[in-house]
Amino acid sequence: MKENSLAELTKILSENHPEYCHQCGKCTSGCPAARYTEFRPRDVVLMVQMGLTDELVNSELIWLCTECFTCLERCPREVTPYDVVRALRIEASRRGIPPPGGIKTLADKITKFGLIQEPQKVKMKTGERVDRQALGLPELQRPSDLSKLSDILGCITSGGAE
Amino acid sequence: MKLALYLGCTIQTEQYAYELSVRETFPRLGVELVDLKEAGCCGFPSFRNTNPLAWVYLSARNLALAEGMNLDILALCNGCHVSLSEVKHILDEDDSLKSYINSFLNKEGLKYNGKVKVFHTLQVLHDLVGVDRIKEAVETPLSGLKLAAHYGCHIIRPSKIPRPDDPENPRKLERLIEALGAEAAEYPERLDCCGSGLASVRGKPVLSIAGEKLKSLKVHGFDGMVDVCPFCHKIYDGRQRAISLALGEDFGIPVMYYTQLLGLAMGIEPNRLGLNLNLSPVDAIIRRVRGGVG
Repeated sequence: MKENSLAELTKILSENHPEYCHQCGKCTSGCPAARYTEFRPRDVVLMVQMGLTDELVNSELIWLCTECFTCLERCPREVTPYDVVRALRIEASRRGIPPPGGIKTLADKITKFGLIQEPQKVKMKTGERVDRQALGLPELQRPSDLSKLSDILGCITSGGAE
Repeated sequence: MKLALYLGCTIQTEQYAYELSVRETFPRLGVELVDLKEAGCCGFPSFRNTNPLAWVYLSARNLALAEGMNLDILALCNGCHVSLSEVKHILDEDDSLKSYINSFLNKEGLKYNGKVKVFHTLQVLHDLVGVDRIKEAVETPLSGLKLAAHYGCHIIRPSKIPRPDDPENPRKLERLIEALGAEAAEYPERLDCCGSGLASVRGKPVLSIAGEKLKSLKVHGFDGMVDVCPFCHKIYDGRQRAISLALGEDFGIPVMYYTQLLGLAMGIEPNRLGLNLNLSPVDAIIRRVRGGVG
């Protein structure tokens, strides 16, 4: 059941065809990350065409996409470079390769706390720090049975935790 | 009209101004908000790219909670909205995945049937409340202010799943700004990304990406920028000083959530809208709107 559902989901996520890309560059011209990092969506697609998947899943490169979805919107060949990048990220996680930066920490916090972080005391213009209570905001929306939620996330998991 | 208010993570743990201004303005426009109490993260951060089944579960869980209350859901965050919409789209097309997810939801006493509609701030104000009703609610028209609309990527893309506005030429936020009496002018970087998706991997390029838009707003003589997403706001408002320092140029662009601007025009006291929490120079706008009162 789990395998079937995962296969289905993977199919939906990867209804893309890197082989259709003819390197027009429309994706890269609209890419915010391409302007300030070494990430180029069309290079990623070219590398997939060349069979360099192992290099990609082991590289920080695939994590530099800002997920703005512009390439997905503009690709004239239905390659949708973003979907290729996302499939590579999921594949990296499936192989147990940890994502760079704070991505893993976010996942751990969600599993343990239900949210990506605890409520912060924020700075006002006056320099004073305030929290939800001081601002008169109601109680936090959060799952009350966190051990049940984290069990479920552990069971349902398709990633490196297997 | 009654909606389940879903806050996600970033708004209720640090972007309090968005929550405050929504809670102040929506009920006055006839939108009753009921807190989605047991809600949790939508799974967009991290899980969506690392563990898709956990992501689908987390979003489905929030949809099922709203379904249990017989209410449609209001997501204020662009990321939450795209995540809930995408998961709804996937589950409604795939019965076997839906029953797999339901077998886990059942352990939490929940069920996903697909009955809930997913709304964003922009849709509730533009499509449900409507521009005319908003015009009627204005006490102090914002005439003479030239404002830049910033949609944020996830509210307009990807168009292969239902999105609140057009991916290449959205107009709703401009119409909502104009309803308050301000001018919503065009600028070339209007649809550009804030870069925040890169923040947890590499920080510096984010400042450069966001700086391009602020630079353009300064060149084109805008009085301020209006947004509807906590991640974008965190960058343009919260990090504007860091952007200025990194690029060696002082931008001084006031950045407000649309709901804060709306509340100002409705005559609501600025602190009740969380305007004392904005870190960009919003006082310039408050003074122009409220004159001696502010």
